[in-house]
Amino acid sequence: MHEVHWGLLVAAYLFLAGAGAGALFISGCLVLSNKVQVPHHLNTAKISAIVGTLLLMLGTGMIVFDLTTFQYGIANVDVVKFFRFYRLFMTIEPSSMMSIGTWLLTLAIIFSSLFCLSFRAKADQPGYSRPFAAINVIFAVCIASYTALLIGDINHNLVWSNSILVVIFLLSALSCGAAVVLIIKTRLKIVDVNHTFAKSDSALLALEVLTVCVFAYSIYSISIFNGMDNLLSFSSTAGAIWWIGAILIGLIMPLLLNFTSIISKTSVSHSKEYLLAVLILMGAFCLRYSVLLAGQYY
Amino acid sequence: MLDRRRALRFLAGGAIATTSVMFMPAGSAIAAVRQQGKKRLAMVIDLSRCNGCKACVVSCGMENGTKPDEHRTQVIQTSAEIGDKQFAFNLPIMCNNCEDPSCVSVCPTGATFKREEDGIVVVDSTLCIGCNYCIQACPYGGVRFTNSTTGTVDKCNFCIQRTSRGLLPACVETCTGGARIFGDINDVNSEISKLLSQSNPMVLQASKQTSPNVFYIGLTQEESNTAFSIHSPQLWQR
Repeated sequence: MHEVHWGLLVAAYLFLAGAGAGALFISGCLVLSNKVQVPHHLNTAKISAIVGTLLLMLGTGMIVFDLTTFQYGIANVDVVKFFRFYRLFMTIEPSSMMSIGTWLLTLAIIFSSLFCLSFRAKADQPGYSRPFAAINVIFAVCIASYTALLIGDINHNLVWSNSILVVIFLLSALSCGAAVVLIIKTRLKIVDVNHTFAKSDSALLALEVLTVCVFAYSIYSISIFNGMDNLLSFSSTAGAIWWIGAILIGLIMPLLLNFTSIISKTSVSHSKEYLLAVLILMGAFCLRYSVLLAGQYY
Repeated sequence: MLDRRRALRFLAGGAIATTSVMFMPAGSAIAAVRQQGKKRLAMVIDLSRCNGCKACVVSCGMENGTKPDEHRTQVIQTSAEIGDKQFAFNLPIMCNNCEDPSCVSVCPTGATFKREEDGIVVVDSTLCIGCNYCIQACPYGGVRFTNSTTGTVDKCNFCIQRTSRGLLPACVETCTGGARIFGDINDVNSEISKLLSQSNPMVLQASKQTSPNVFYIGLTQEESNTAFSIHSPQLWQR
């Protein structure tokens, strides 16, 4: 019998933190590259920063909901257990990746909130946001990597300790951020005339396909070496979510959508843009959930 | 230049060194602990004496107040192949209270720690937030669980409430076959110390480099490298 201690809520935490970090990264890059002097880019950067911050907050909420003391507090109306999570903020344990992540996320939320406020305070002077944009870009990379390092720190785990997972999660966070920005752009009715978005998104997704193939093959080899069934085999729950959710829905279908729009040289309709973004986000969630499940094999 | 004979000798030496690290018997782990000179409580389980009665499981539950389906220790019924024959045996499993535990360093609140005075790995239920990180970090499947009475992580602590007063853990006290032997491995006059020096004890999954403080007599090299879990399928059930 396999016990799943980390399930949907932890997967949601990894996904939301990654998507939030990705959105903040793109927002920060728009400010640093001075593209915000164009009004619609300024709006995109502004809304992406706000959405990214909210996603980070929501993601942090998910990890708190997953704590067994929090769930016990709700079930038994125990206020002490309900608020036990405050203990995370009472200690700094450099050896614990979760403790590092707690402080990293706290600082990232503070600085991303300041980044959002910087747009409001000096709306006519986007240059004012540059220092915060630089800090947010660094924090975004750290958080996207941290989501992989949190599980990768468990070095005896055959799935989670795979080093390429950091690259996969980093790329996935960026494509999630791009999907969030695409939804924002579509809401603002900004048309991707030169297929800039489609081209850069395709490159990102293609790179991700390459890394997930390396990961899947290494898991296959490691499983065989350890005398186990392939931990990402299609017959397992984790494998089915991986191949259908993460690979087919999250990578292949968005790639095909992007390619058709580039080849046909026509701008994609808003409904297709929404579909593309939703597929990428769904795939990113499935990627994290399947990796979490596959790692809990014992 | 290396001739073929010397090259083969080098290769053989390397292979022996690698094998000795990968399949380290308990002896070197014990020596490492003894060098420290502190009191180190440990348990030896003699598999030839375990009859699978599960009195240890019941007494542990009663002593520590865990629910019937939550176990700090469990006896699994498993099998091993020696040559072309298959043998069935009982394998008591519990927290190994490792010398170098992987659960301690990952704990974000410091709730899991190793006691200086006796080496027991403890979970402070007043500090534990229930993030389950220690459960994921432990290579020995199922020895840690969420206690439904407290909502925090629970595990075997060698009945700290008893051993701190010089008593034996409940499972040792009630073992009908006398399979569980408990004591300070740094006390050369203790029963456990003598037993460890006389026999060839093994630890579970020595390759994980956690230096467990639960030793097994009667376990083969191959079996000790198997990743047994409290939730391993049972071959038979009492």
